[in-house]
Amino acid sequence: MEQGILLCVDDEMMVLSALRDQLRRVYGDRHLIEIAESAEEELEILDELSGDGYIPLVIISDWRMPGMKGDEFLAEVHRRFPQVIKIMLSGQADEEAVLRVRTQANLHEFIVKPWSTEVLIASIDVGLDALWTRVRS
Amino acid sequence: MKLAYKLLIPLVSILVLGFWLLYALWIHSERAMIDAFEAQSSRVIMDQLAQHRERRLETERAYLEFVASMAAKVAVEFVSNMNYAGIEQPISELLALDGVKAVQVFDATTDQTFVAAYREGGRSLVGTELPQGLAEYQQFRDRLTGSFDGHAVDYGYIAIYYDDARLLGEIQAMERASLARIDRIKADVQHMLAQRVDFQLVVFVIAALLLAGCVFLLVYRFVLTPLYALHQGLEQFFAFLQRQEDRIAPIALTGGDEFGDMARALNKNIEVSAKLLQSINALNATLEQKVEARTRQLRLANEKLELSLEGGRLGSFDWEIPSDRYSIDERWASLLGFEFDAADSRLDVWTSLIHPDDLDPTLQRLQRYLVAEEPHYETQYRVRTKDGRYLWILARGKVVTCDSQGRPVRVAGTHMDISHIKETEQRLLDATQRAERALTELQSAQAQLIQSEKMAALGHLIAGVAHEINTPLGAVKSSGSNIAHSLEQALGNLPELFRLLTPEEESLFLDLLARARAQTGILSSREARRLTRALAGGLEGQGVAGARRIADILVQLGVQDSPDSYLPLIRHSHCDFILETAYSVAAIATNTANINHAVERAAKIIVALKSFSRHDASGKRRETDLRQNIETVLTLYHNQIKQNTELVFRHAEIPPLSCYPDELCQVWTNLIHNALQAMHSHGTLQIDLAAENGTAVVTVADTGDGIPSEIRERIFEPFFTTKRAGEGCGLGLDIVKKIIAKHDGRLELESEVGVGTTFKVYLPYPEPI
Repeated sequence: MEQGILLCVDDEMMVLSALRDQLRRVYGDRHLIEIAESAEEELEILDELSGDGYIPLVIISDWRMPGMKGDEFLAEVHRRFPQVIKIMLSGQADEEAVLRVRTQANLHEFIVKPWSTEVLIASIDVGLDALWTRVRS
Repeated sequence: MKLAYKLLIPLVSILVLGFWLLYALWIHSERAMIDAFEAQSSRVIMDQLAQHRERRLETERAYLEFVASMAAKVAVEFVSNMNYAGIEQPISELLALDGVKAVQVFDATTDQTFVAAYREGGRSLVGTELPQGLAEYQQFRDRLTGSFDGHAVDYGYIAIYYDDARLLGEIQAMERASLARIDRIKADVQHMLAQRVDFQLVVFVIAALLLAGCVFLLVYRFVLTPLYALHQGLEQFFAFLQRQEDRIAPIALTGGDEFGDMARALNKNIEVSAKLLQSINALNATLEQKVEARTRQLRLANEKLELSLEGGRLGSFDWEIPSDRYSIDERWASLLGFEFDAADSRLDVWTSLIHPDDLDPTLQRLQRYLVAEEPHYETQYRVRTKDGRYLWILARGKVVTCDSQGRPVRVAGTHMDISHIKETEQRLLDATQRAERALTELQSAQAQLIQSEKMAALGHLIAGVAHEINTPLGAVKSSGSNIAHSLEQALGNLPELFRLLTPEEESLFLDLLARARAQTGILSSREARRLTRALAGGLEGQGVAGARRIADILVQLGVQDSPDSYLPLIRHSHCDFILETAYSVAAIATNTANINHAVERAAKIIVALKSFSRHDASGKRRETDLRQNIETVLTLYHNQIKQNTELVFRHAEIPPLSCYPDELCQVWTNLIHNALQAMHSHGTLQIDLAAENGTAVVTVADTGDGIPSEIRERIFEPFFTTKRAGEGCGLGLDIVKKIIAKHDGRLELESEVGVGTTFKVYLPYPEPI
């Protein structure tokens, strides 16, 4: 059985934990919610789960992280999974980096911390709707 | 070869002259010989001619005597017979003979001339008397003897008068012809001689020239050439001596003669001289170098002197005290613009030029020197030049002559124009004042700069701080909404749940909640995932549907260790509902904890920011815990440090240090900031806090690029920066140094390119008062 995954990347566990609860509440019954503390870990998960038949649907990434930065990470994700809805959730980011990720990784939305749950969920929904439309067509 | 020319002409002349003389002598002797020969032969010829004449004449005489004797014999007959007529015939025949002038036959018996015949005008006359004038002729007489009766009878004589003139003429003609022939021969000989003279002369001249040539050649070969070689050799030698060349070829003369000997002797001399000369040259060269160096020094000194006199505007003065003659040199006078009558000036003329303010001190000084109260006369004063300006001069003088009582009578010395020095002094003074003012300004500017550097660092931090603040804020906000939702769900679910559960299940559920609440520490996402995976695997093995989801929740609730004890709940038909509710209840707690955690973090940042940005205006030291002080900075840099940078902060328990904490914060900020930049946020940042020998030691070590040795000295210079424009103004380490100096501490730096940099800050505990 194929199941969608929503992935969150942030170097702060408190953010991840809060995000997970938020996403689980809305999408938990349909999709798997995965969190990762670094971009590298997230890529591991993607490799792992996509092998198990899971389809990555949404990636929410911080920009400022240890190791790979959010923009690089999203560019990499875009290369591998161009369909995935990519959202950047960050307290601070270079305008240049945001612009770069918008053009290079087809960024769905840039949301600043502190974020509003409704905005985040709405953004994901819009993304998912578009995705389903694309899939169906 | 002047000698050759000199020798050639006399030699040729002498030889030609000699030959000529020789030749003349020869000619002369030859002539004398010929003459003698001629004379001798003439004499002989003349003798012979004379003899010949004599013989002819003798022969003629003998002939005539014979004729006479014969005629006598004939005549005897005639006479004896007295035959006068017969005799005439023979007598006429006799007269026909050449030269016979007359013939007489004298008859002694009669004592008369028997017959006489003579020639007269070509005619023969016969008579008895002889004509007069026959005495001059030769007379040949012969006695007429006959025999009569056996007795010799003398009948008289016969005389023949003979004229030898014709014969003599004949002989003389013959002689003349002979002599003429001889004269002709003589003339021929003379002619021949004369002819030979030219030829001989030519031959002699040629011989002389040849001889001269030969002699000259010999002289040339054996005298002149060696002489020339010697001369050349000597010339070369003298040239060598004059030009002082390095080496000289010996005279090329190797004959065994005296010249050869001379050449060898000279060569020896030359060799010795050359060696001598070389050593002399060497000496000379050294000497010349020395002389040159000395000359140069002297010239330089002289130039310097000239320059200093000219450029230094230096003059001399001379004061003869008894006559009060005060003179300065003309150049100096003209420099001052005066046509100063150097010969006829007085001290008061000079002093009248001195600036009124400087006059008294100057005169006092001079006076004190003259009475030996001061050892030197050296004073500065202003002198009015002709164009009315005042020049500062430095006068230095000395008593050069004293009288018998030791009183000074003459003082001489120098005046130096020191206006430019005074000007420079003034400018220097101005500059110093300006510099002092500037320093004051700079100090305040520096304070501002330090503050601005601090604000720059702060500004740099703001970006990170925004993230630092926004992250916990985001977490708080989300967790808040999560709590609200979870609470709502839990409150909604719980009554229903308790109705569904059996008492055992209920206690199991409560136990689950208790476990969830009691869980300590947050699992890393990786660890949680690993556990979830393992648990899901286990549950699937037991045939549990939705194992992954259940495992996920169980791991979140922190009961992954003993899932089996919750099997009744897991296998419950409302498993999802039960676990969701449990999760909701637990989420209230975890989100609350999350909020607390986030708030703490935010609070910490705020505190750090506050303490960082606080400007302590009190300017007083405060007892400070250095650990907290450093942690404040680390908190602010937390977000930058945590990115791939390992932070090792080792801190010993050390007593609080009396210090300026906010300034020290700036030190740590700068050092940590630099360390992170050097590592490009990759590596290990190690901070050590320790105390040793009454000094707190803070070590900030990075594993960054290191500082190249060529800029190691410069990094403390203000405004020296390796950062890009806008990242820092290059004051960081300068400020660090100043702050440490303010704490009487010191900063040590160790750095190796490619390995890292270690800054050690030593802060001494102030001595207890």
